[in-house]
Amino acid sequence: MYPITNPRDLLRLRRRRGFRVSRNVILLGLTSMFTDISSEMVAAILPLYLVYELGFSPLQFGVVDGLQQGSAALVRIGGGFIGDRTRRHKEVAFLGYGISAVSRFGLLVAQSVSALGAIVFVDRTGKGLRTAPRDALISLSSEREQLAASFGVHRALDTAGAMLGPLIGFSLLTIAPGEFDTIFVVSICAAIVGLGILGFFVENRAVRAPSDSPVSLAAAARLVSDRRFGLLVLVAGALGLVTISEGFLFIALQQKLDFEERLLPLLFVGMAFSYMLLAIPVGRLADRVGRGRVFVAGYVPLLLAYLLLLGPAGPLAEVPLYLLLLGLYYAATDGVLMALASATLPRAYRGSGLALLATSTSVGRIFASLLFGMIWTWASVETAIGFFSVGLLVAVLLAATALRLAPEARTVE
Amino acid sequence: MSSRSRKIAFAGLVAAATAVAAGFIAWAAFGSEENKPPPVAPATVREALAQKPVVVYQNVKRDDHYAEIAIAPVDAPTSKTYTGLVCERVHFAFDRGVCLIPRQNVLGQAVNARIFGTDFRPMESVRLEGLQSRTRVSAGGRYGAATTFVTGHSYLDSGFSTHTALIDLRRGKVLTDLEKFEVTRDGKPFKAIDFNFWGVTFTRDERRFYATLSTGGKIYLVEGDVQARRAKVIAEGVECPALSPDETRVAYKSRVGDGWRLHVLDLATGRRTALTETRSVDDQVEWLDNDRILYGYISDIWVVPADGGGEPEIFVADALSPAVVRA
Repeated sequence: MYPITNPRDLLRLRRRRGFRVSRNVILLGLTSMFTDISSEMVAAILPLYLVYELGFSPLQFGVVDGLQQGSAALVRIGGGFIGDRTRRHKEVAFLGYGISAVSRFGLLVAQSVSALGAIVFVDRTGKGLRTAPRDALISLSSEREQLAASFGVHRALDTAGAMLGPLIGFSLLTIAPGEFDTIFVVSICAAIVGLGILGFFVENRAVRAPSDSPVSLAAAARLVSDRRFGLLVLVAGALGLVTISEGFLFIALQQKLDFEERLLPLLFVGMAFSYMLLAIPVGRLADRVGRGRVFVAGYVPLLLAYLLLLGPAGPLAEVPLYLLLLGLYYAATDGVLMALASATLPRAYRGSGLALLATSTSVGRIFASLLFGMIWTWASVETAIGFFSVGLLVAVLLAATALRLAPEARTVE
Repeated sequence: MSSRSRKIAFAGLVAAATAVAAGFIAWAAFGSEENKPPPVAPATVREALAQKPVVVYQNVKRDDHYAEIAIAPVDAPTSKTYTGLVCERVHFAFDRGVCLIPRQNVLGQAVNARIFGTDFRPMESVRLEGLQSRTRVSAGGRYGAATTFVTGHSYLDSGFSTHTALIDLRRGKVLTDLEKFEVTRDGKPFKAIDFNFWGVTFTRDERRFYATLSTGGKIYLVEGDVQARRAKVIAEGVECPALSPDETRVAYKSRVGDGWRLHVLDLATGRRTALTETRSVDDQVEWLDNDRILYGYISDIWVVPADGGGEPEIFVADALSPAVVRA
């Protein structure tokens, strides 16, 4: 299945072809793919299940939905730090993936709002726990020159899973209407395959702690006082703060072009598709021309999408253009930011650092969604997009200046 | 563990997972094929319906008739006649019924509102967006109402949005969405972007209706005029109203703490009476007669006196979505 088992062969091949992804990265990508198939096939049908099978009201559904979104950020930093401290990123990630997989068994027996709330909470805890050690392992497993490409490979596989999951979920409902238990069982099976790949084949990377001192919480907190990394955290947070969530963007697009609401989920699939195709080439480009540059430039397609939304309504054929722009934006920012930070973070603190950075981005985005929603409700969608366009332009210019002041490090440790 | 034994163990794991998944899919697909109810003769259904007053409900016992609609006399609600019609939510009056059934497809969620006659066989079907919630038919079978809801798509959509369609059951067409109604409150125009309507109940003359309006975190009872497309706010905190047969009272659920409690509102005096059902009921109730109320709770239909006395009792077990067809 994996023909290259001798590391020397791998090195030789890598030199010859220029770009060779670490086996660990592909394996982690496959783990994410199966896990996403598992979680997205349930997420896509969960509203149907709650309402048809359990007779939930919209209000109760809202409570579950809110819980689902809220609880991830908290455990993320903890997961990153524990991975660094124990130097067992794989085991911490395994625990996170495992917790999510086990939570899915609960769906087979849940009959109340509180039980479902608990399941969702446990699932999100697992997700929060695994993200940072997984990204740390990707970055520790990759050649410095190919960090962005490696993250690109992982994100492409991950997104493939997020696309396949809902398709499988709805196909199963078509074959056997109302048989939600079947979907939950298939979802559990997919999660177990993902866990198997991680458990049996992914390997930890040896990390020497600097000057033999154990990884400490104080030192992890001091990461942000490093000029380069601190700036990156600020830049990521600032850009997050002017990012309109794709949910809002798609609803705005739907209102502008006036197509059927039921096509909305298709836009998510389309965006995921273009992200999946672009993740690897854009990652490779970032490794070649500079990750900072590509990361900042990645917000230009997003800005273009905002401006297009403000323009006159065009034909429906405009839609693929938006999907391309948003896919390009994700490909140039998501994994590339992790690669950019990996190059400045000490190996011993990769998990904690990447967790801090991801949290900065997501906190920014939460506030952005709140703000966007408020402006939309009180003024208009055009005002909201206009406001965010100006904000994004300013943030991009600031980010470009900031990253110029603190260019990517040439050496670490 | 050696590299070889890891691969063997993983292959075993994948094989086991695939076998379990394939087994479940095959069983579900094959099983649901077998569970299809046999066709029911129209004469059988008409005969059962003729024993008025009758109650129409959805059987939810996990047997061959799961989700199938049944008809039973009001005084013998368990001696049921199956109709062959499968719905998730049903209502019937005079000679027309509405059956809400999900349409499952890859492109999101939609509901078919199937309109059926006295043989309980669908004649027309209306497509609605979202997930089915409530449906009602007016006393003469002229109008139907169906509520579906669509949840949000973004991180912070913790709320929801509903659509409530008024359907012309004679022509099989959607007349309008309640959100297009002109609403007034205390005589002044009342309008907001977050208007959501649900739970329609019609008056016997088929001209007016009552429904829930939610906006700004508050719940209102509105009274609407079908033809004029106007509605006015007449009370607060009344959710999923059901008008009594004598049209003097509205039974509803109201939010108490983290659940609901069933109440009856006297429309003339504004007096509110709490019913003896103390569990949280999420249903649009149905009046059995002028003194008793039917509602679904988990998987049974219960009955409770409408005057705040007595105790709730099971009316029919393993059944939901009751509709009383009066003589």
